[in-house]
This record gives sequence, C-alpha cells and structure tokens, in this order.
Amino acid sequence: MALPSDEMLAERAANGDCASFEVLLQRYKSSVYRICLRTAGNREDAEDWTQECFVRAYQQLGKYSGDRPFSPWFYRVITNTCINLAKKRDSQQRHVHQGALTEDLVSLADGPEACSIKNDDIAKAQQAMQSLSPTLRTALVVWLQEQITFKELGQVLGVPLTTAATRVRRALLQLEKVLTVEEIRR
Amino acid sequence: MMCLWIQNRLLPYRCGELPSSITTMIRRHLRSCKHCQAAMNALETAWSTGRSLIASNAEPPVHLDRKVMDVIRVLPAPRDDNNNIAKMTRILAAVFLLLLGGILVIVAIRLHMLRP
Ligand SMILES: [Zn+2]
Repeated sequence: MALPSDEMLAERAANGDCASFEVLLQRYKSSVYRICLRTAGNREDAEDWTQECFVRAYQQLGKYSGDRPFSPWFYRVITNTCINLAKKRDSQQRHVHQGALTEDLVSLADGPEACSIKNDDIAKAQQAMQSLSPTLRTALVVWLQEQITFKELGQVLGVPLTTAATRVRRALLQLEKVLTVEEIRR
Repeated sequence: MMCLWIQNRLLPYRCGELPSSITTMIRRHLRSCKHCQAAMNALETAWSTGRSLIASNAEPPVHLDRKVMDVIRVLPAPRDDNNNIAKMTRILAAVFLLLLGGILVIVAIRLHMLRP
C-alpha cells in the first residue's frame, strides 16, 4: 500500500488528526532540527526552536490548501519562524552559548568536507555563522542543508530566484570574510 | 553595473538554473571580465567553506517527538480554529447590523412623532 502523501497528511492534520501530524513530524524532524541547529548555533535553542517550528506549522495548517505542494509551504513556515526567533534572541541578548558551540560543531563534523576545518577553530566558525543576519543565515542554511534549487529557495523565502541567490551569495562571502580562511583551513 | 548584475547571478549560473540566453551572456562576460572571474573564484571558495560548516547528520534528541506532540494534542484543530474565527466574525457582523437597524427604526419613529 502506498504511503500517504505529505499533502494528504497535512489535510487530515488541518482537521485535527494528530496521528497524521505525527507522521509529518517523523518525516521532517531531522531536517527541521538541522536547520534550527545551524540557525540557532546551539543544541538547547535548536530543540526549543524545532518545537516552536512544528507548533507554528500545525497552527497555520488551517491556511494550507492540499492542492499545493506541502514542502515549500512547510519550509516557508519553518524559515519565517527561525528568522523571527533569531531576531527575538538577538534583540534580547547578543550572547552566544560558547560552551555548547564547540560540542555542536564537533558533532557537525559528519560531513565529508568537515575534516578540512581544525577543531580549534570550530567555535570561531560557529561565531562567524552567528555574525550573519537572521535573514541571510536562514537562506544559506536552508539552501545548503536541503540542497534545493534557487527557484525552490525563492518559493520558500517568498522572493524571486535572483533575490534568493543574492542572499546566499552575500551570506557565503560574509562568512568567508569573517572566518579569515587562513586561520581556519589546514 | 553590468558586473554587479552578473555577480548576483553567478550562483544560479553555476548551478545551471538560468535561461540559456542569460547563461550565454554570463559565459561571454566571464571570458572577458577579470573582476567577475575573481568574484566567481571567491564565490567557489566561500561555497566550499559554507558546505563544510553546514553539512551535518545531527539528529534531534529522542524525547523531542513526545515534547512536540504533547503541545500539539492540546491545541484546537487548525481548521476549527479558523472556522471559529469566521463564525465569530459573522455573528458580530449580524449583531452590528441588527443594532444599526434598530437605531434607524428608533430615529425614524422619533422623527415621525416630532412632525406637527
Ligand atoms: Zn564583470
């Protein structure tokens, strides 16, 4: 039997079927958590932000129509939630949880290219990520994490393709500038 | 001006996401413009750094599912919530129209009574 589509599950969840929403949670939780982890910069906030993202998505399901693809709509809610949470946190405290940073980025060293970064500089790399504005940081994280096209990123962010690409370009260049590559690469 | 226009499109160009006419235009420009060539090289390096920072297989903590669903289960159904708001708006509009009608009737009666 074919598995129910995201759209079908979202329709059912919109009418209050929590079991359908739980299936969506299973399908998307890793992806949402990784986006939140990269955007928030520490595990404690990432956990809270992931929860907030799913709660917001559930509450907004009333506005979702099952004849549209679920994924871009869903990631738009996630992106907006992350941007709002990052802005709120930034305004509350210009403070980053230093202790958790190194640990988080060590765990991040799962990617094949991660070995090119020295562990000593990991916290600095995460600080560089946090130096990006929430809008640029979220655009970069979603594009790299989800490996989507700029057209899809534009749909998620609600902007044209070139605006989405410009945000990612600015984020990458700013990141590279802050990192001062010579210090970080072997 | 042209260089900025090109540089804002270097990433989708590199990913093969632009229409063929624009792709050809950018390819030609890159052959002759050292600024944009340098911008492309800088972008490739930054892209590689970005990938190495973001690539992750991190998984959420196991208790997160329960934590999320505990909140979801006590929330009203999203569509019900919307319907309730729509229903309340309709009721308020009906009450307002009734009140307005009543006031108009009273004013009309008063005006009628004041006539000599
Ligand atoms: Zn140029």
